[in-house]
Amino acid sequence: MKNSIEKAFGGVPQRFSDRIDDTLMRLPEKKTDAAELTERLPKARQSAKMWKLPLIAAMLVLVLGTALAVGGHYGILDFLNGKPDENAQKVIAANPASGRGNGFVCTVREAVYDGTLLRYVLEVEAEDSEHFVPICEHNGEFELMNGDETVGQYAARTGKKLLNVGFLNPDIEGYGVETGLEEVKYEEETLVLYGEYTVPPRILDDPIRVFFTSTNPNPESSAEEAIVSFFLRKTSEDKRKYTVRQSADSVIQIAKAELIRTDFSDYFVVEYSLDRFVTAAASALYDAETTYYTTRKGRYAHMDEFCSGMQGAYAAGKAELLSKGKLPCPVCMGNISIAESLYNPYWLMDIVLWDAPDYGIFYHRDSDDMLLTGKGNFDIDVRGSRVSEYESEIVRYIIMFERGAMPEGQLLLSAFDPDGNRYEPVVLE
Amino acid sequence: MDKTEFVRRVNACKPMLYRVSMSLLGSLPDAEDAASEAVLKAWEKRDSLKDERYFETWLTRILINTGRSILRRRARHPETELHEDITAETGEESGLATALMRVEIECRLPLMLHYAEDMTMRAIAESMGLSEGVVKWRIEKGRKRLKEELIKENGYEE
Repeated sequence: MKNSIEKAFGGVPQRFSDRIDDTLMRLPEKKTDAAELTERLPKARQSAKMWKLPLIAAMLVLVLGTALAVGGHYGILDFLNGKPDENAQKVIAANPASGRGNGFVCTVREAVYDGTLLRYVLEVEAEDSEHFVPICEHNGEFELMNGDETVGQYAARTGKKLLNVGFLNPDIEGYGVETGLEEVKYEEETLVLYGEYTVPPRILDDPIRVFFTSTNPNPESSAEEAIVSFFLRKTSEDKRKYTVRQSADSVIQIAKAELIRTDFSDYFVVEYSLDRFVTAAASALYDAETTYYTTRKGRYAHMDEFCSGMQGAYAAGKAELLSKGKLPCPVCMGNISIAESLYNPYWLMDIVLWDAPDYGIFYHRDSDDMLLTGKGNFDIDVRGSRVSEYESEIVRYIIMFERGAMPEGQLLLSAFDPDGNRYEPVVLE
Repeated sequence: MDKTEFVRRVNACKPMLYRVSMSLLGSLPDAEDAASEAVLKAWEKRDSLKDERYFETWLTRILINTGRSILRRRARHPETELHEDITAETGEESGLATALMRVEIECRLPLMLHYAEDMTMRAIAESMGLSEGVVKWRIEKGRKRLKEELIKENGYEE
């Protein structure tokens, strides 16, 4: 895999190499005027200036005062495609359960059921791990061990025999469910299975018993089946609302912020508006002496009066554009849409958590030197995030953490542009 | 870091600059722009580099940010097809390059950083502003997606 990917694009083309050489030859001895100007500008102006370079994205950075390490084997959250499942806030959590049979040991690591969908993670180990290694076929193929080695190669190298675990079919109190094994992974010699099963909706008030029964891969064998059963129970939910302290000129307007802890995970939910950020940026982009063009109902202001959708366009100055909330046209004023950048979930996915205990202050962020300090590293494992309602004025952002990972205490939220310029933070207590 | 040392370190990073910018952008002219812009930014911000041992990772981070900016500029336009430069200049692995570029960028980039640049999960996570768990997941997903695309492309099996 490594060799192939490394060679995928071939060697460095001569023209690419020449371009870098040319850049290196032209390196200015002093910092450029632009860089010097940027350094002299106050922070708010710096950020506004950056909008003139079409490089803008909004980032929210949560800054924490406490380091927490989250260890980890694969759990359900690792399989959720980087998105928190809002239903998971209503889940029923499982107690760990284990069973033996067919030569292997099967343990339920996590299982959640939201009334419709059962998700689970099982680990499977060979009972005699000195001589066997478990294997499971999924979608007609076998997973690789760590690195590029197939499990067959691994077994040959270590002299172990393969132990096919067959399928593990869950059953919720008489409801046989269709198999839905989604992913199979290895952690060393432990096989980790993740499945999602749609089952008939159940009332969640009473405990529900779940069985996992393995099929016997060898019908001539008299080995006993492995049966693992456990009870699902309703999760507890602890919700804490933050008090928001923000200055009148803060570019982030927090509508709501809360921390929800369930037995399954922690969720930080924040709803905010960045309208002032947009206005400030738009203000910096317009020149008071330039004539722009817009339409009565149009969202954008244009440099080019013949830009698309400009029927009925009229000339307008900076003050008018700002008063009417017109945003710079992404086509004729820089190839980027401020609104789309700000409210685009892809870019807002860049939320990160920071811990800066050695700095005495809570914030610490430079998009280019985050690796360099040796401090301020984020140790809280963000397991997923989701932006919703981003097309409206209020953005709802949910970040999911490992259960118990989100610390108590004060948080600071700051808006940053991609160059790390920070706006006035908002304090959550 | 003085200019001589900076030039030496950048020259040593040329293969990384090429591979990462190509995997981000899929077009040689854009890759040249991104790499060149990243080198200039790195030079401008060299004073912020407190530990020169991390120069390569630091430069990678700047390159990723620069490449993302270029992608944002493209965002309003239809998805750019794989540039013919790739197949013209990558020779026998062109099928792999084509397949790789069909893997979604959020998986493609960590895949490239891990396998081609030998970066650790943690370094990739820090470079991309993600958690290690998400990076691991994306690499796994990327591997599967790459395999699917290779099979579609030319029946390749690992």
